[in-house]
Amino acid sequence: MKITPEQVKKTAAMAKLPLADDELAEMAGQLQEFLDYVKVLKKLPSGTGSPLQAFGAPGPAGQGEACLSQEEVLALAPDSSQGMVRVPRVIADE
Amino acid sequence: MQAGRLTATELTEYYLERSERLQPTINGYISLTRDKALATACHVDSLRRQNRELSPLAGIPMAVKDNIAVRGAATTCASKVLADYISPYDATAVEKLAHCPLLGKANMDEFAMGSSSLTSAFGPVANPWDSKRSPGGSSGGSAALVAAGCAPFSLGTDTGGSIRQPAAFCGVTGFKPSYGRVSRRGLLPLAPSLDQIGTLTRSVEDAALVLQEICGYDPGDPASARQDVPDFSACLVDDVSGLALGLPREILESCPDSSTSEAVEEAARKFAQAGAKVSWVSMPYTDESLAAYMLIATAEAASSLARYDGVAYGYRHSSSTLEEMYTGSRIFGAEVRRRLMLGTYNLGPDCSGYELGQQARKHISRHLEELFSQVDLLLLPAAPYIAFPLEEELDPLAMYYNDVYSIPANLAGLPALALPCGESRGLPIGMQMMAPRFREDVLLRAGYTWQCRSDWHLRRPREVE
Repeated sequence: MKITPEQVKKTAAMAKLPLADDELAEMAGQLQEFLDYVKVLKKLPSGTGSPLQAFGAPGPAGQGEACLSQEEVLALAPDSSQGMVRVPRVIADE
Repeated sequence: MQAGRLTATELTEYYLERSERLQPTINGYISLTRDKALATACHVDSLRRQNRELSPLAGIPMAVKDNIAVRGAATTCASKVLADYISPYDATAVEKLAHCPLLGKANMDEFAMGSSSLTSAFGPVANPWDSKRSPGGSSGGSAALVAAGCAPFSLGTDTGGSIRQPAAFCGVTGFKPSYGRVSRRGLLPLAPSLDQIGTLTRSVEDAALVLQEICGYDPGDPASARQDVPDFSACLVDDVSGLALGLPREILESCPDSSTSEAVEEAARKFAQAGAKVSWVSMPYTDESLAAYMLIATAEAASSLARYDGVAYGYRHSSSTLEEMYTGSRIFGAEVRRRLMLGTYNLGPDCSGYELGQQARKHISRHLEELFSQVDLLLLPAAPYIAFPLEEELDPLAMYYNDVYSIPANLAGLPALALPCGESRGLPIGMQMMAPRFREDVLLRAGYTWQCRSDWHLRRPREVE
C-alpha cells in the first residue's frame, strides 16, 4: 500500500505533532519504508485466540489507593487554579 | 562494610568523586544526586552502628536510568518535555533499594527510543572503552557508568534489548528479568506490554544480589506476576552438567560481525567442555520479530506518550488556544517523532498494524515455547555488531536492527542475560542467553559458570583508568 501525503498529514494531526511541510515529506518516505519492511509478517500463519493479549489475563490492578495527594498533583501542573489544572479557554466567546 | 573497615559514606564519596570527574568524558548522568546519596549513606552507617540487620546491598551506591521515578529527583526520560519534572514518588524498584545511595540518574535515549544513547536531549553518552563510540542504548548511561567504575550497579530498562545491547557494547553484565518479575510502577512507560526493569552489573553474582531485592509481586503494576522469588544466590553454582544449550543456526550463520559469531561459538564449546549438551536449533524468525516489535512498540508508545500534551505535567507551550498548546508542548526529538508517527498510523483507521504485530508475536512466542521443550537455554549474540562510532549515521531501520537478536525475549516475556564473551578491535563482544519465562535461576547458573571459567567480565576499559 502506498502511503499518501494526506495520510501523513492526518497522522501528524492525530499524533498532535508539529511537523513542518519538509518534515512531512521526509516522514512519508520513512513510513513507507517501515510499512514495506513489516510486510514480512504477512508470510506468517495467522494465530488463533485474541491477538491483543500478550501474556494471559492481566492481574488485578491496585486497590485504588491514592498515591499522590491533590496538592502533589497540582504542584506538577504548569498552571492551576482553585484546586484544578488550568488550560487555555476551550469555549469561545459568543 | 560489615567488618567495619569501610563506611557507606566513604564508599559513596569514592563513587561520587569518580562520577563527577568522568562526567565530562562519558556524560553518563543526566543529573548527579550527591546530597541524596550522602544522606542515604549516612543513614545506613547509623543503622550499622546500631547493629541493625541490613540487606547485603545496604550502603552500596547505584545509578538509576532516568525513566525510573525517584522521589525529589529529576526524572526527565532524556527529553526536553520532562526537563523540569521532579518526581513526587519513588518507583517500586527504587523503594526496594532505598538503602542504596543514589549517585544520580543515568543518561539514555529519549523516552528509551533508540539503541545508541545518541537521541538524549542532554547530549550523547560515550562508551568508556572508546569515547568516540556509542555505548549502545537505550540504557547507555546505565551501562557506561558500570563499565567506567562510576557505579557498582545500575538499573536499566529493556523493551527490545535496551539493557542487553548496551551491556554488550560496554562489556558489563545485563539482566532482563521475565515480564512481570520486577514491578514497573514508577517506570515511565514506552511500550507497556514489553517494558521490563533490570540490572547492569559487573558480574552475575552482583546481578543475583540486586535481582533478589527488586523482584516480587506488586499490586501497583497490573502486569506484576504472583510468582515466588527463588533464592537467586543459591543458583550461583559452577556447574552446567546436563544443561541443554541451543545455538540458533540461522542467527549465527547470518550474523554480520564474524568476530561476534565466532566468540559465541567459542563460548558454546567451553560450555560443552564444562558438561553442557550443546546442539544447533532453528530460530528463523528474526526479521519477523523485528517487524512485530516495530508495530507493537510504536503503537504502544504513541498511546503512552499521548499524555505529554502540556496539561497536567511536563513542558507547556504558552498559547491562547488549547489545540496550539497541545501541539506546541510536544517538543520531542526526531526519533521520538518518527516512532510516534509510525505508531499513530498503526493505530489509525487505514492500518491494522498493531493487530498484525500481536498475531506475529503469538506465533513467535509459540515457536520459542517449542524450542524450550528441546533445550534449557538459547545461546546467541547479544547484538549483531560491536559498538559503532558516534558519528556513524545509521538510517532508522539499520538502527532498529541492533535489537534484532534481543527482541524475541521481549515479545515472549522471557528472561535473558547478556555477558561479555570476547573482544574485537579492543571493544567488548557480548553474548546472551534466554530461558523459559520465570527461569532466571537457570540463567544465573549458566552465567555464573561462564564467569567462573572466563575473565572477560574482569577486563576494564583503559580509557577511563
